[in-house]
Amino acid sequence: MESGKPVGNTNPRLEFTKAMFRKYYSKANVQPPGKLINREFGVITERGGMWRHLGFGTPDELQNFLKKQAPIHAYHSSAYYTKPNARTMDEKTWLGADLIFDLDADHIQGSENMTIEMMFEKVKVQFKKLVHSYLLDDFGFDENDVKIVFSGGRGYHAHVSNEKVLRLNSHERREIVDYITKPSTNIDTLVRKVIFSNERFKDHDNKKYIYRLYPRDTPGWRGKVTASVLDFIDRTEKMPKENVIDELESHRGIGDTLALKIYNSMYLGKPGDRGIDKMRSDLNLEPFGEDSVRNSFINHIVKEMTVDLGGETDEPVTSDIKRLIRLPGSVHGKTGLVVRTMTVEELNGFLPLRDSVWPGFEKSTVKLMGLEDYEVKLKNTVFKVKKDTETEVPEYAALFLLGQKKCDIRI
Amino acid sequence: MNLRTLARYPLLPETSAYLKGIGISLDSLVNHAAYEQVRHAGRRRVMEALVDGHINEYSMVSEADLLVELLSYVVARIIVSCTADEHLIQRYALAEAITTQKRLESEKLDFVIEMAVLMGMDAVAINATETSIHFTDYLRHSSDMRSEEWKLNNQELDRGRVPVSKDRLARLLQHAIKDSIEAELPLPVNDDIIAAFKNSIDLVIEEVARRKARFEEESYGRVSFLRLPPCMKKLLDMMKKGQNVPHVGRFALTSFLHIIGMTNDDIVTVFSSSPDFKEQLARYQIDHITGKTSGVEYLPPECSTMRTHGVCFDPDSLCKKKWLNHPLTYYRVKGKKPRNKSKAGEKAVNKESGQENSTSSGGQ
Repeated sequence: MESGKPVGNTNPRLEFTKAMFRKYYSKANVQPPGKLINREFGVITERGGMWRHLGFGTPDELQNFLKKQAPIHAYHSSAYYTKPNARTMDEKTWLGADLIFDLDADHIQGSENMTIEMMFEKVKVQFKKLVHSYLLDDFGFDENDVKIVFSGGRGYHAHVSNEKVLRLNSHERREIVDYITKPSTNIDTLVRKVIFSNERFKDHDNKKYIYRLYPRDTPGWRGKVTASVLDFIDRTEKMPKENVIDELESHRGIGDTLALKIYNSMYLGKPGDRGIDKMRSDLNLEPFGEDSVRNSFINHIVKEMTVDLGGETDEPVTSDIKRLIRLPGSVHGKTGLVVRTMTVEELNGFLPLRDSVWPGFEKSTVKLMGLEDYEVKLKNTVFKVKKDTETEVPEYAALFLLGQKKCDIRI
Repeated sequence: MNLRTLARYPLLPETSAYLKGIGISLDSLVNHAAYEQVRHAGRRRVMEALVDGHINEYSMVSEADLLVELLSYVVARIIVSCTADEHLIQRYALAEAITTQKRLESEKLDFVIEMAVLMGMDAVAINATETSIHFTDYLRHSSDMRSEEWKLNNQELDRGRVPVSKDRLARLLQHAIKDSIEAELPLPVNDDIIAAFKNSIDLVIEEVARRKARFEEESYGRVSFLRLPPCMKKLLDMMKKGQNVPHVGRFALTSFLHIIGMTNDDIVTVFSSSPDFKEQLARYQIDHITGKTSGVEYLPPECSTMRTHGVCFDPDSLCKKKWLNHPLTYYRVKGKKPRNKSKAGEKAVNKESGQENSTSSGGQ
């Protein structure tokens, strides 16, 4: 088997996957994306390669296509076109595009050392921040305009289809990404600069300023700065000094001298009279003394409020106005999990490995051979795989373990 | 709205209703002797836009003065439309937009908001001095402002709205007006109209040609690889080494080399050192991008787009200047430094003449 060409019917792994996907698409009712006739679709079947430029006139056409082809991966365009099935962009004629946000575990720091459950939890925290703090609060979208989707793979997508965003070009979308990922570095826009005294001295003004945080509920970045400082204080107050210093130094750009200065301005003195007490009680930033210490601290701590959309390393999905995105209601070929749409409320209690399993994959079992030692909890059941040992699991677990290349099918 | 307001802001939608109301026909405007002064004022308006970049304000004492001023706008649009010249349309639209912005400075906030709403912006007053607009309008109309203070992340975004001062709103309006005039022009004109305005059109076209010649002379000069920005150097290098250059990179490099004056044959030669070179395919793509077959002469992407697509490589100190937002600007600026040192290493691809680069004069 190993030396044969891994094509078509000769590969039992692909054959099994194909059978499962056929079963799914023969039963499942895939809710088409809005403005179906203007969307381009693309699929990857077991034969490999992306099959693009597909267009469907009715939900039934889409459903029948999926039933017939049973693709392993299915996508639709975030964009709307006059002729979505035309082969060139010019002929397609771009009409607009949803605003898409893609949060993937790849963007989470240290995700390579996490279990899949921990990783999903971390992504969810970040994604909820994106939805609540940015999409709903700052950008003011209505909950009905924001479609939340579990990608079936390693993260979540948000599709914003508010009329006002559809015509935004790539550059304008990039500004939205920058808003979320890169707070201003100009301290005067982040904190309040108040004239403290204005003594005239020999014909020129001698102004003195004091700096204060804006109230926590101030809109936009100003409130976020305050939240990040107060959260830092809450988090570090009970910590030993070394840990606080360590945490400060974990920010690139804060060295040991600066970390110590920040620590001292916040924690020296008796309780009630320390820097943090003044910051808490009247949002005063004067305890920092030197401007440079205050500014460095603010500029670093505020980064905790950003959401990493992967913009530094690869092109962010958000600024791409012609991207194909996972079709909600399809099954992800590498996990066997359903790409699921949910409300903001449902997101709170959502666990991908428990809630995105299709019940139709629960009834029968399959025999697999372990390729490495591995353990995963799916649908409230823990599955343990041992290398070179046979195991029998339900179909949903088989799809997941095969997709993740932890097992193979032996005949 | 009264005539004085319309004369100052002729691009308001009320203008056409007003003209209909007083019964001035296009035909009389174009042909009747009584409107000679108006036609003259219209031509002057176009020439001011072209030469000065803004429309001058003349004393408007009588009702007749006001009407001439208002109608000069209508005539100016006809003359510009007769030429159907892209450069002129852009220049004219910008001049009208800048003029409106300037005039708005002396208006009350409510008036500026009203104008913004008429131009399709979602703007409302917050208090006596401040207004807020929807962030999508803000993004659309601030897209040509590259300084940090205009960036969205420096705004107090609240529930989708960005607070802006009156002056800022007027600046955003400038962009909206420019966009709107550019979209409207050219208006459809028939041969009779073109014949009636022949003298004006000739005069304007002559000035446009003079400006274009001067611009070209000042812009790129001889093709020089030494002046290439780091992104283009890197892309060129990758092509030569046969590395996988993404589509957007090939596109950027081709359009760039075309704009700085390389012939399509020369560009094919540059690409031919790539190991996966297929002449026919390369030629097809190059001819498309440079407009030979597509009819559209593509410009290379600006810096922000290059960054977005991951083809901005090793930006140097010049790249990092605040005002530098396009690879072509880099090339032009590099050409402006007088280069007295030995020319060793400089490869002049375009061998059409031994003329020195004449770009050191003029411009900043």
